[in-house]
Amino acid sequence: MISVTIEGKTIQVEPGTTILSAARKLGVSIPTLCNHELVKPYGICRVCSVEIDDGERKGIVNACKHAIKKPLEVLVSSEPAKQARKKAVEELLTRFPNVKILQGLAKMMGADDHKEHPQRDENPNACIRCGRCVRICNEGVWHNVLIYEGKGKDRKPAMPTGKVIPECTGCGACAAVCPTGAIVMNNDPNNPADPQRIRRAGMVITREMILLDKKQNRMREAGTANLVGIMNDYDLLPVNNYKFGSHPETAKISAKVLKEKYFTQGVFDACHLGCDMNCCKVADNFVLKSGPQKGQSVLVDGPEYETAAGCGSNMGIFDPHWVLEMNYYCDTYGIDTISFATSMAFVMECFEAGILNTDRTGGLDLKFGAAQEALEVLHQMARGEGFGLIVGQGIRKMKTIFTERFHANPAFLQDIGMEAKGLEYSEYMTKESLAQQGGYGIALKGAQHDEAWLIFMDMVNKQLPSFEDKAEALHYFPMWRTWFGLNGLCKLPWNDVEPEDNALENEPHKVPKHVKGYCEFFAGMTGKEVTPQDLILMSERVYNFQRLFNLKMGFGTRQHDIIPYRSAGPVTEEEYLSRQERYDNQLKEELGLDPDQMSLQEKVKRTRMHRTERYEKLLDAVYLRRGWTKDGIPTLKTVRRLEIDKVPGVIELLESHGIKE
Amino acid sequence: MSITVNGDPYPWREGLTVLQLLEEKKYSFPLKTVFINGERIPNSTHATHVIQEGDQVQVIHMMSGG
Repeated sequence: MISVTIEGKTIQVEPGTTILSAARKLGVSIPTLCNHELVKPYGICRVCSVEIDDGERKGIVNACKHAIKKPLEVLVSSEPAKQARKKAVEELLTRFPNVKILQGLAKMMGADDHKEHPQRDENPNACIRCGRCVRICNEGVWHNVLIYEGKGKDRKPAMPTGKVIPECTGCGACAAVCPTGAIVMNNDPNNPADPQRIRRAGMVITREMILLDKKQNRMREAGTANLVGIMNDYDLLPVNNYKFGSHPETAKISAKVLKEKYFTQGVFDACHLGCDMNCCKVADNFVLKSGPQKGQSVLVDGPEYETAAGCGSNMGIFDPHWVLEMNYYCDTYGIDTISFATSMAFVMECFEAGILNTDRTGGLDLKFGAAQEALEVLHQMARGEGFGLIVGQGIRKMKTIFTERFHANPAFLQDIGMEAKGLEYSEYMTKESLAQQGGYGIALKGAQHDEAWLIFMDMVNKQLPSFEDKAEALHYFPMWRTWFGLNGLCKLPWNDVEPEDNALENEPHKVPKHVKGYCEFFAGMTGKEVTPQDLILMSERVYNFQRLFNLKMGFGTRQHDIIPYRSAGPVTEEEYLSRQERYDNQLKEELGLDPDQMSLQEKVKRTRMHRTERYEKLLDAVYLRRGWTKDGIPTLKTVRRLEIDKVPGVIELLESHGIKE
Repeated sequence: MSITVNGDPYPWREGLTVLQLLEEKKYSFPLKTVFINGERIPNSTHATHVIQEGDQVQVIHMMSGG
């Protein structure tokens, strides 16, 4: 730490701290102009000039840019400092006499307009060359559209061609930080009711991404892959077809490795134009080792968390090369990495359990960890031949095929085949979070966590102790998250970066300030004022209608919300033993049993009964909260409240399932 | 001699800091806030804040997304 004295007040600061930052900590005011909290110091305007004395050197420096490296005395109100600031403002004011912010500074410092300047510009919204716009475009939002053009006093911000270039997403960050109004956003092709209101709401997220992301989820550095190591730490990373939640070799496929060895950094991504989260990562110059493009150098879009966990740990694979190669070929073939990975994990467990063998797989030795063999299945899947033709049909069909052709025990396949409603599970191990089991099981599209991710709230924070608490969360979050789908928005900016004071909110998990921001966005877009409750109601209508659609298509009742037991507890004795203390404790604490007096087989069976009963009780609680029958069908009262009874066929559909007044 | 962490008992020892507790629990998710007996403990003091016997520690992980 270094001691710095500013206007007689002393503070200890880290080496490299700027004078401006130290002064603010001390409550000493220094005027600024080109400085802005969202960009690095530039020091062009000299409005923050102060006098320093470090024992060797005495003189005037820019407070915004001068990094403190040794003990220092700083004078803000000395005559030389005041004169330096006054001179800086006079130069600017004489060139741009009608710009309000300069007039204000001039008044404060007693600076005069000297009337004569070769480049005098009378425009009240003149560009004063502070460079905030160029800096936020490049270092803040990574769009790299604005550049400096010209030299010396002619230097000004511009786009490379002198016109608005197509690469500009219109994010408006430049206009938001412009101190004079020189930049105005005027091309809004979607004709929003109030574009400025949308941009103000957007800038809140931009600000948080620039200032807070590096201290929070580091989405810009590694994207969602940052979760690989974290999920491993919390015993939530699926390993070997969701048998376990962590593995000693996880570090090999962690964000650190992906970032250092593969990811191309600092580039804005094209996932959603104008998004400042930039969480999508790519690996350039990746050389393929298999398939039709073997030996070619390609660009891999990813991997993000689901792909790293699915094509990595869940298949027992810990060599990042194969994870990236599966990522590339899945994308190229148009195959979902999650469905492929979860299907392959199921196949590998079937292989190790003796249900499959090399005769049945066409010679492929598909044990856990068999990366090259799994890739061969992927290539076969794309060609529509061999064993890949079976795997490509997904777990639900494989369960039938393995039972009919290979005489497998269908109950065992049901337990370990990680799918619901025919969709393969995404990559979280849910055994210790009952709420998340519901999040997967009840989800309308099948086993996906994007309706509700409640594991931390439920399992770690213990904020959902009762069935009613879990049911409330399984009402609110799926409705809230449906709203993003209704509006074509990504959910990540909602809760993968958060306001600094979010933890102090009454309901921090809803990220209330961001929810209000989405209300602003909606009102700015449509011209209609809305409350957070209005947003939920919009979703509730659609969500319940989707449930009715599922019902019509044969997927909308309680039996379709049942999950494979692997999702709720240990199917095998091996799994029980791997977390024996945890399961034994549950038998003791929740059921009053003495595990020391029970055989392993009895313990597995009793645990299963308990966990299955809990899941059924959870369904009851969720259905009640949502206004559904015990069979999981929206009641007449619910469809009338949501005004979806007016849709032709809805009442008849309900009546055909025995739902009457 | 114990404290509670998110409602569960946890063994306490003299000098145990918030940072040590977070490391022992493998609470590596960065977006979390620690409260002790209802009072927020700023991240900057996790390394120096010593937990007292009987303290009720809450480590609220701020993730409801994914």
